[in-house]
Amino acid sequence: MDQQEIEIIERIKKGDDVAFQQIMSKYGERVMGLAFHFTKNYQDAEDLYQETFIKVYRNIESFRFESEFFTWVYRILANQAFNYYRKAKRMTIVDPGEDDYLWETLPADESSEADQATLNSSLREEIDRALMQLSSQQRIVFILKHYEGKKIKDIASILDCTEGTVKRYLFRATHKLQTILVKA
Amino acid sequence: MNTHKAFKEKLLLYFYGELNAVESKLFEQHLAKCTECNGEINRLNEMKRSLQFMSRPVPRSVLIERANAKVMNTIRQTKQRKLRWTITGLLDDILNTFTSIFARPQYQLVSIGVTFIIGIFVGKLWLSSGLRHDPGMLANFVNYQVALTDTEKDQFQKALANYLLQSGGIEIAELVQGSADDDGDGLVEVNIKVDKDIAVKGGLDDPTILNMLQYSAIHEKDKTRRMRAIKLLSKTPQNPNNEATMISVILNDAELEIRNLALSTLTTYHSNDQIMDAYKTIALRDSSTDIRSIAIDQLYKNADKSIVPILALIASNDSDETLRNVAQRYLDRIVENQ
Repeated sequence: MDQQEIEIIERIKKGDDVAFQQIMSKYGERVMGLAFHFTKNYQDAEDLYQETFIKVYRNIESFRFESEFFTWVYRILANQAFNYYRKAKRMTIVDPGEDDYLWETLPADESSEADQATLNSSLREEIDRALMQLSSQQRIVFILKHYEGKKIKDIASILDCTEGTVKRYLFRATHKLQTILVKA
Repeated sequence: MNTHKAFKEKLLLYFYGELNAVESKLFEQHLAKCTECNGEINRLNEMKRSLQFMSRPVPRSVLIERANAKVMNTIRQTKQRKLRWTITGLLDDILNTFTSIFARPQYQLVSIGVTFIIGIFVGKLWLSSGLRHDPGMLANFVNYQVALTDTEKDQFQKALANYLLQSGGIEIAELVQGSADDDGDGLVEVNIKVDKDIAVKGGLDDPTILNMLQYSAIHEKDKTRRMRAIKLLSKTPQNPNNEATMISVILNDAELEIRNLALSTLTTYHSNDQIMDAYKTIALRDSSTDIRSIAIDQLYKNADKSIVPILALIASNDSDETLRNVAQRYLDRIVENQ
């Protein structure tokens, strides 16, 4: 963790709201993107984002600089995501609503040659549906591994569990998605 | 020991890049020879390719700014609430400290003294404030009353109906779906019949209490209760409703004791046309000689020559000799006074 970030966090601990806004600006896009991956819903992603940062602010005193700050934020986000799943809120697949202009959809791999819009769209829906068939633990582990590129030990640290547990969730999620997406 | 089974267990770790350099190299050597593991890796890569098409929306900066503003707003509100709680807690602590000190036996006299001094101080303030001359203020101070709007009245009736329904003892008397619902707006009217004891407390100057006593004096089935109502009403000042109640009791109640009580109350009232008419009726019709006699007394004391025909009627035709004599005596006095 760089010195500048340490100073910012110390200022937040002393009640400096401007410092907290700096942190939100720095990590906002990543947290919002991840929140969307967890919820597959624009509105819920925004709610999850807010709940996460409010929790970050309220619990900042308990951050002891023992891990990367963003790993700690990840942990809070993941816990909030578990709560979100537990509450069984709107678990619908992407619902383009009033807020969709606030999001810009990019292809996951910009080098991909598959730009056929229609095909991409139906594939996206199929993938989103497949992800929704995973359990909440499997989905969170899979997203952290596959899209965030986290190492298994980091995921274990974020979710506060053993690497063995992460592997089990990851392997089950992979097999399930493989069965759904590579059926033909 | 690197068997096929051991490699297969590491297949997903290899796929996700979780093996170290040596383990990866060994796995790749196995992969070159094993068609099963090779096929599995191909299927995983196919899945990976599919997943490249997963929706990956990126939030625009305006969304992040909006969400950040909401977060900051919530945080500020929490801080304000925290401040309020702190102040409330502080006041609570002060109050608790005072209470714990002054509740001790050795300080009880001091507490009484302090309360007394504060009472005098507040009283002086009240007297010097001029508020005591403001009848509206006094009325509000003693009895907070608000005129209800139609909507509030409607809501109050609904709340009362709900309370009665929950506490039982009522029945729905009538369900009307009248002309108001011709246009299908769903408005219906429900009347409920209440059979429930409701205790209302208040002084004898309370209009509700007076209404209930007046009703009770006339309609109560239990004789003792009617008596009690009349006794209580007799302690209240004369007013048209009390007059009407007493007259109704004297003219209609079957119990002599009750009629007597009502009449003795009526005799304390200042006479007026309504009361005089009542005395005339009582003097002619009551079944009790004593009551009729009192009514005749009252007619004589309060009336002018208009009572002469009534006295003459009683003196000449009444079956009760005592009353005939009483009426005659008063007639004689009227003649003498002329």
